[in-house]
Amino acid sequence: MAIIERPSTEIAVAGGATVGVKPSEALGVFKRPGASNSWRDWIVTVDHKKLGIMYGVAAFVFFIIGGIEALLIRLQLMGPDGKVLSADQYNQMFTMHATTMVFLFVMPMVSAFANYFIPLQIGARDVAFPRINAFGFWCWLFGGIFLNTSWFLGGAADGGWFMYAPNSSTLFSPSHGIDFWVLGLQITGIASLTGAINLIVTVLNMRAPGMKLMRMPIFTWMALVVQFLLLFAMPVITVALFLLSFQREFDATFFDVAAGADPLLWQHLFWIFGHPEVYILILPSFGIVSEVIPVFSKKPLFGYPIVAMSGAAIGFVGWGVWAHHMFASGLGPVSVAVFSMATMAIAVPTGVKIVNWIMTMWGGKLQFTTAMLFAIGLVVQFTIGGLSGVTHSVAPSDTQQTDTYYIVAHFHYVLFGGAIFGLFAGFYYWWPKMFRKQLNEGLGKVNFWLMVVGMNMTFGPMHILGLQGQPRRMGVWTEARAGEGFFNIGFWNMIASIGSFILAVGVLMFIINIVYTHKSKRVPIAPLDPWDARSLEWMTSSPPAEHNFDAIPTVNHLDEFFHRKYAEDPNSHEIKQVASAEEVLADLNSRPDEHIHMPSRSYWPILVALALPIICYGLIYNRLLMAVGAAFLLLTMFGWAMEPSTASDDDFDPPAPGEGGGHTKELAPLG
Amino acid sequence: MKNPRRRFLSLAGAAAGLVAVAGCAKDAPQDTWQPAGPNAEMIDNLQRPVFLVAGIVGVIVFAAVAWVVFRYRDRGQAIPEQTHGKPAVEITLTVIPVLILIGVAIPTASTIFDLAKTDDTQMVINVTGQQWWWEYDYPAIGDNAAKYGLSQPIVTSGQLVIPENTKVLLRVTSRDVIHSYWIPKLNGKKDGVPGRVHLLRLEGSKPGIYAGQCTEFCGLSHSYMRMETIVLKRADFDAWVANQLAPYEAPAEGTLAKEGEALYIQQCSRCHQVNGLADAEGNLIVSAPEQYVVSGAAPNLTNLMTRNTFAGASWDLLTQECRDVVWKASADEFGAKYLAGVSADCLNQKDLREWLRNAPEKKPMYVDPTKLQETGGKYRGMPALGLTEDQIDALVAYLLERK
Amino acid sequence: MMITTSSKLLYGLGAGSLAAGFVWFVANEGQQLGSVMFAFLAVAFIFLGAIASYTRDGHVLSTDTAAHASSAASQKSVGRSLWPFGTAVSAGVTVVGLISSPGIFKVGVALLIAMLGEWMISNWAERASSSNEYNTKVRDYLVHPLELPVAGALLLAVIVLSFSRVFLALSKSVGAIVFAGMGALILFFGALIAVKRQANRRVVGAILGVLLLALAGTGVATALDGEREQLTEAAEEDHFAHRGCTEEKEYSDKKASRAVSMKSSILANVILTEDGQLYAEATGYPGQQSAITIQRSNPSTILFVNESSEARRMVLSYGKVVEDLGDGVERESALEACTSKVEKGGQQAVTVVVPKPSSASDEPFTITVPGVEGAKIDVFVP
Repeated sequence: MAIIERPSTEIAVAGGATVGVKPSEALGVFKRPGASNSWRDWIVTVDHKKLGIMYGVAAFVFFIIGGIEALLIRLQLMGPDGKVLSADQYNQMFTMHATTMVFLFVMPMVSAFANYFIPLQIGARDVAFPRINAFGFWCWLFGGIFLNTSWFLGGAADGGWFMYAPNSSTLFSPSHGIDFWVLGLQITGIASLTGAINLIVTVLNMRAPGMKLMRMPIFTWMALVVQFLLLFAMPVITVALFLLSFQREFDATFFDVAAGADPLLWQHLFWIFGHPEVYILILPSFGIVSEVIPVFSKKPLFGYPIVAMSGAAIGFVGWGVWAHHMFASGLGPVSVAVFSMATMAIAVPTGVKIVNWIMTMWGGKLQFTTAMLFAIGLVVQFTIGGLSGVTHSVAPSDTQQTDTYYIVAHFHYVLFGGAIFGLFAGFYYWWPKMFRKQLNEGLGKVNFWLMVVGMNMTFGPMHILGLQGQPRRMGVWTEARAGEGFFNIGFWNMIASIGSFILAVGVLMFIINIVYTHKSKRVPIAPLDPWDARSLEWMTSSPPAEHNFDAIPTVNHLDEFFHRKYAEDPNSHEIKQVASAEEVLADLNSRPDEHIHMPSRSYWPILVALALPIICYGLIYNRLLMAVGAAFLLLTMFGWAMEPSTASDDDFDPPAPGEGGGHTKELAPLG
Repeated sequence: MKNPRRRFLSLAGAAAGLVAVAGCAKDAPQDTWQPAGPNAEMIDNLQRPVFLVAGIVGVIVFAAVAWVVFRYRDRGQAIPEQTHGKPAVEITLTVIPVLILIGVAIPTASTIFDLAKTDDTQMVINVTGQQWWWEYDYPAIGDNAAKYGLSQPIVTSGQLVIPENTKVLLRVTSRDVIHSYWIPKLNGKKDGVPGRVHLLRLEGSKPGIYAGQCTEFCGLSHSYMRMETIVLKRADFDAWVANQLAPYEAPAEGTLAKEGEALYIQQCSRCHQVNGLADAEGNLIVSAPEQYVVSGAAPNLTNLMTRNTFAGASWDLLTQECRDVVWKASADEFGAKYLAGVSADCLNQKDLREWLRNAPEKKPMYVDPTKLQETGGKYRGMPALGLTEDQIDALVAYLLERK
Repeated sequence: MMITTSSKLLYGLGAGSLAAGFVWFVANEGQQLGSVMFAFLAVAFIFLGAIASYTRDGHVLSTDTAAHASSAASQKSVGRSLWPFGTAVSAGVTVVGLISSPGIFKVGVALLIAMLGEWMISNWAERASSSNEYNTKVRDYLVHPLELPVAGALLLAVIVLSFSRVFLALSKSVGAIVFAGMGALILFFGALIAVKRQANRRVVGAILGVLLLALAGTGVATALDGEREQLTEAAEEDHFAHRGCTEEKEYSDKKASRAVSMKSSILANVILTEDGQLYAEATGYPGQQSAITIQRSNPSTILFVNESSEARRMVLSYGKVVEDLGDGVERESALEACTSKVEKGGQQAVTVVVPKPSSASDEPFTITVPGVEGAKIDVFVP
């Protein structure tokens, strides 16, 4: 890599000859990475689709890690006075389970889908800032790995994912676990923030001609709302994490009562981030099912503008409800009443979505593919989670339920039954787009039913456990308090533990399905448009070429692709197919765009991202290492700043393959 | 295609049914649906209709999904009309939940303010959480002194004793991290936040033991931070107060308990206060937990054997049979049984001795003894004292007399 | 060849510095400061080496006469440079600093390094090719990533520093007015620029420049003039130390402990009325109390509200402590916590941890107000 990238301009000197600094021999130390099919291409790629896939794969690995943590928790709680984990290990386990699932699985998996499909759905060739996109991915990945190395370096964080002060101070948690947690989240937070800005700019500026905001596919809409939520929520948690890390590393006293501070400050900061975070996790899945249900109902989304606006409304009102996590914190009756009402208000736009999904299916022509089953699973299970959420908004009732398993049941119905089911719907729906093969439907249905049964068996009984007074975050429960009869918490803990293993088998079926689909020779290449889909991402090859579309389509309708395939018979008013997907694509590609310009690959994003964990290890173990990391960061940022976003063809390694097939094509304005 | 939604429908029905019978569960110590006092009743009166409404809405939604799935499955029908919505339907289906929620919001708000009422308080008790036990102190000022005979403050832990049908106001706070005081049958929970005083009303309408647990994650032994609230008839409560305030009785010379006293002074009194305990020269001994423990406090053991649990109410001081006698006593007999305290026959020797032998093994106290430097050499909880079996015998004999 | 002659030297120096840093680290048993200095030195050398590599030392094959004629090194300098002047001024500042104060010296050295660096780079860039346009571009490419953030930070620092100096010098009431006025001014100019988009950038720039100069000038002037009287007094009194809770007149800035957080977590309000009565209001106790309970070993914040006509302070006495000074000598000192003097209508909070129960003390624990007879609240620590 070039420490300093060579400027590409050739210089005309007096006398007419172009000499001066001659590109290929004069300047630069290393060449810029060129296109190749090796693993190296994944390291230097700035292609939103490759980054999306990498986000997805890495997030799924963390999903498995988080799942194993969950299984250990359930093993521990299977019987009274569990001995599987020590108290300390248990605390680390539930802290990291939540942290992993939230920050290292659902959020990046959403990034995977958003990265891959937002440009495709809006008819763009890439995101607005491709190198920052790559940087975000590597930041997140290194942050996640950094966070998990704490397991091997004296124990992971043990303060719960909410990390309430003052329990998070060094006095009460002397291991380095919380340091890793704070710094790891700080690094992944950079990824969220840069990703948010990137996608917002992409959606606002790079839509295909005719793609008005109200013609955008609903997944893009929800992802856009989520990016705005991230944009405003991440700075809050960043500040909170800075306060905490200053408290831990430099003996600051932001949450130290003896120094006159108020530990509730942390709770407010955390939940002002934490509640919008809940919508950050769930809204993209709402978007996915809002894509899936219309496709398999053969109807447009019922009340599209209302669904889009209710998503935005959830995003907005979501900022005014954070204190409902703190009804027991002693806020005083006025605050409690206000936040209680605000929380109820948020049930309305959420309810609207459920109604609209049902109304979309109403009168449709429903095909129960695995993707559709997962989407319907979300509708039903999210309804359960939503209704238990309404019971929490009733503050007095919440003071009985908060911090019990009833809450655990609630948010797992929302996040597992909702968000994760939505993601699985997305996997099955978009798999042929991303990988050219359809996941096996038979295995998919086994996968779905095992997950439904496992999920309801695991989290359903938790409603009972919570109402029977079993608090959360307890490594052991005692028979003395278990009660007798049908509601004996021993029995229901056992059921929940068994259910969790069924759930795990369900997830395993998904992995088996992937392996089967891609290893078995009997699985054919998927057709271009296997689901008879409606939106733009299906109007190109599978998987799409690096430049996504040979010709950017002009959009005239919501569900543009569907309207190119189908038309209403003017006499009979019946909807008739007028063109196959292949014909639509051939028609579009008959006038390919010229001068397609794609961003160039770069080493710098991964290198800059690599500097961050070095600094953080330095902060924890040795300030000297921190200086080295900072110097590395400075140099790599400098290198990045020096590197032109595009470079001429002879500046690459390997060199560009002759005329016309270069790494970059002519400049054309993006978007 | 089978009808997959039916399963959910039946499941939802079952869930609603479970919720409905949850109130009738027998012997469920921390059941949130069995109020035993006016505050918990207020909550219960609110949450029952709310759960019912939520259940009904749920059943309607599930029925709608099931119907749609059944009725509109692909049977080869034509591609439906590409309609984008019907405003009338949408508005109606938005207004209905709004109305339901308004119906829920009004009683919610009034209950919130009812539960926050404090102007009719009859007794004030300070409740302080620390890792991992609760301390109760009954201040000897105001009505406490004037009407309930609290001429001196009482400091106790684990079990909170309150008189029946009395509006008790807990001033909940904490000495280290955030804890939460929760007796499900008497009221919802309230966090004890260091530096702040939060108010929680308790009122028990029937004598008995009401179990609870710390519900705010408070570190290593969060699961071992339990507590109980004892509701006594007024006469029994007065007897309890009198006993708590009775002067210290030293063990008789030459007994095993006397040896235990010496050992106690040498080992335990550094942290654990026994009111009235004096050294050989007659100087009163004041414990100094602030020098040894992070939270700066350790349970007051003056009347240990009047409580029937120890170590953050995590273990019983009573054997199983004796425990059943107290816990399952009828409302009328309960006071007498409880005030009997722990006799030598009833003492749960096993757990108490294990505790004295090596407390952190029984209840995890600090992650790593080598990390003590992080806390300035102070313990988080009780350390292993390295006592011999003989010493434990003596200590148990001494402690048995603390009632 | 990628590693040119001069870059060899610089890379070598960089590697040497790294090694030196390592040796230092080992030799000084983990003492880090020196190693960090060496690490940064290494970074600087490697950076310069990279520049040398990048420019290939301006090397051109000696046989290639055409290239030689047009090579970077043989280009004429453009002339007109700010850097020699800047370097001279910086040198002057350094010398002045050497004589007068280390602070100025450090500023001088920093300036000197910056000026020399700039000089070096523009000198190189001016000869990079025969095209002035390209030369400017290549210079900007190299230095802007460093220049712009530093310049921005400096600008911000000037604004913040000047602003804070001005406000430390103004009295509180005038400060509020000036603040509002300045806010309005900024809003006005912002609106003006937003409305008149075609406004001459030079004019706008000039106005902003003048404003900045005015701000900086006022800042320097007020900094030299000193902070407002009250603050100086407060600093002199060291009101955080709370030494000696007596009646004597001592001033302190009552703002110091009126943090919002303290107001949100009050154990008790202690109020001194106009007629010299002292009473407490504690959460959970109805009405006015003449006794309060403080939990043992618990950080507790007590807010003192002075409604009397004179400046008063609240003193919480909680027994005595005996220190063993060694050699059998013991020192007994009273345990006290007090507010500073609080003006009429003022409030101030004190956070205190009482380690021992009141029953263990010979003297009762009390809250009193020195100079007010009979103002006393009993304190119980169970």
